[in-house]
Amino acid sequence: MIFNKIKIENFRPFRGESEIVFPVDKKRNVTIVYGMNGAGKTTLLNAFLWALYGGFTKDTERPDLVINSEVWAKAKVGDKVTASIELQFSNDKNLYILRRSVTGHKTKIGRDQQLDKSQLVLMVRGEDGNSRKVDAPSEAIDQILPEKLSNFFFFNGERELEQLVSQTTAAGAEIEAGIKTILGLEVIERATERHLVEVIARFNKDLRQLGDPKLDQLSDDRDHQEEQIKKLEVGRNQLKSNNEAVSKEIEAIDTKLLGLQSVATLQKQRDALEADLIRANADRETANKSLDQVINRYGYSAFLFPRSKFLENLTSNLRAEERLPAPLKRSFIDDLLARGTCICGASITKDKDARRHLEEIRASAGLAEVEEAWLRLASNAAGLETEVADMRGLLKEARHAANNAVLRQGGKQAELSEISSKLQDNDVEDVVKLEDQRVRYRRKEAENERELGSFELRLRQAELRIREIDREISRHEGHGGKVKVAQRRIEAATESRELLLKILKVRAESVRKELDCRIKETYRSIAVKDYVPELTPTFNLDIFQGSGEDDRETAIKSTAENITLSLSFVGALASFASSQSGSEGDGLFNASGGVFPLIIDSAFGSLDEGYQKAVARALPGLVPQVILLVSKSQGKSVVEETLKSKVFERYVITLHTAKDGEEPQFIELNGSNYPYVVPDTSTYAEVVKVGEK
Amino acid sequence: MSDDRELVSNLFKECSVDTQRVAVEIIRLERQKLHMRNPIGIVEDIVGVIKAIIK
Repeated sequence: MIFNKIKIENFRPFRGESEIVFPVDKKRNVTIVYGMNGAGKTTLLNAFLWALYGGFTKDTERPDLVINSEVWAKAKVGDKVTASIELQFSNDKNLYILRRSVTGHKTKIGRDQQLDKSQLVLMVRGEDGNSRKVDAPSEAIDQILPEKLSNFFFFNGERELEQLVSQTTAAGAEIEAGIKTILGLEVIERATERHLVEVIARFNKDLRQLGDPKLDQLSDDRDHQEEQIKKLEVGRNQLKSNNEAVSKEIEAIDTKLLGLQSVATLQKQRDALEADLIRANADRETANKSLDQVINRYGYSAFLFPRSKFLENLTSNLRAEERLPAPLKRSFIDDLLARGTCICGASITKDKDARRHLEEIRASAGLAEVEEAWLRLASNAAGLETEVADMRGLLKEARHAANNAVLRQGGKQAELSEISSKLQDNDVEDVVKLEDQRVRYRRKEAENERELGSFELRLRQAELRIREIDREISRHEGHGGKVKVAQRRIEAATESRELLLKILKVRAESVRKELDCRIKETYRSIAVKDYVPELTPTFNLDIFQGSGEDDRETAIKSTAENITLSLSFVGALASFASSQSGSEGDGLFNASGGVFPLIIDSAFGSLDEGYQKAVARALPGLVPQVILLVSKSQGKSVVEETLKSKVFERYVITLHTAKDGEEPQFIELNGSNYPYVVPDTSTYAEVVKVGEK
Repeated sequence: MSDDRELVSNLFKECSVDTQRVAVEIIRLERQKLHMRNPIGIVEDIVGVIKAIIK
């Protein structure tokens, strides 16, 4: 998707019609739109989002006021007023014209707008030059740039860019969902989480109707477990959403603390420590899993070991006393005795001592099967000793890793507690209040986590019981072919679900690894410091310092590093999506790859010159189209200079303001002055194109 | 990515032919209705293909 043009009509601060054309040029792929804070830069970003998906960025105030307020105020009661966005974009050799409009019917005087549902029309013109209306426009747009991916390509300021790299479960889940969308793995998720569950229940119902009492009983049990799962899921989801709300509150407090100069450093240390703690928790979990695996694989040998020693000794003693079958086959001795000659040529006819001796050996020589069993037993017993030694080594290693993780957890928790105490003892009252509040939220979060754990456990138990019931159902010897067929259908649906779940895991993990490599590459080309980024197994973005396993630590990240990391991820995702474009995947999944533009509102606010330059240099190479929305102070200077050769068009959002005493302001671009703020009789925004010098 | 495809292929091979066929059909049906937020009738469609495969 490459934007060609946007036309805005009576949309929020924009009065009348405004138009921005985005030239398509591979070498000069950047468009800069200047505007002062509050003039309409974020509205312009929202214009894209609203046109495509009908929504606004999360922090938009009064999203219900879509129509320009002055136009609405001037309308008479009974009038109809319309706001609209027209978006022209190209995608995969097709040209699209999209128009979303909303009409308000003014029924009373006041600011509140009575709006109809917005209307979306999408026209497409193919290579043949013929235009046609798209029947399901929302679905078509979601195929071109899925809404779930829009979060990675439309950013509202540094805050949103930073949120992407926060170490929260929500951030990780968002990234994981984005990856799955690009890969087309949502099909599997929907199938396994919703549809196949219903299908299996449907087949169970069919089975029950066949009237077998045992199957009836099993199906009742299954229904009961299903009901339990539904109830538990409701409870679990409630707890999760409670915790998400608590996390947001904590995040808001952290942002406030970061903004207070006296405690900003402590807060930054805390951010890094919390990231370390998450890593230590994950390491502990991994180590515990390794312990489980070792015990699963070798655990039995610990109980056999003393017996194996006993067996080995017994074997050797019996052999020494010739009471054990010698490793000679009885049939071989029988042959010798029948022939009357030994293999050395000596005669072993009747009455010969040698023959008597051979007959004695024959008595103690076992049957072939017995001999073989003895030999196998003895050799396995010897192998057990090595296995036990291996097991001990592996156990020691896993325990060592687990202990290390526990120590690290403890250390980080102690440091975090110390920081919290320092903040609670701070001289500034606001800091103390914020920290006290934070402590309460953390406590609540921990309580919720514990309860969540109990819900998860009960859910797992119920799910296991269902699997067990399904197995019992499929094993049950029912009467008649119909039961057998119904059983096989349940089995096939259950097995397919398990297969698809495994595939989902494998594919997501594989792409995580590939994206991780691409992120590292992009980050190296932008970052000023020698840090190493990582897309962690929980799909969180993090940066580390130190290269070895032992001295590697989570780096304390500044806003600049967070933005660099986010942009590296966006660049990696864009290049990955582009590589998936037009690919049929492996024939099973519909990869929704494609070419995506990047729109960023106010990305340079708190970056110092070095980072401004680095980010500005990297942006044009990350995606095929970049639209930057910047204020005069952000856009001029280093950014402007660095991007000079990459910028095709510039626009200015002029703010007309009715505020008393406001002085006119100008922005100098290409040697001419353009109105930036204009004192006026009403407040609105308009877009002005910057001409060539 | 090639390793990943091999892994997926191995996962398929470990399953019975019926399961493989059912899984492929499910993905095909889900793909057809991917861009519908609430794909109507998909459960019936899946039930239908499983019934057709396992008679």
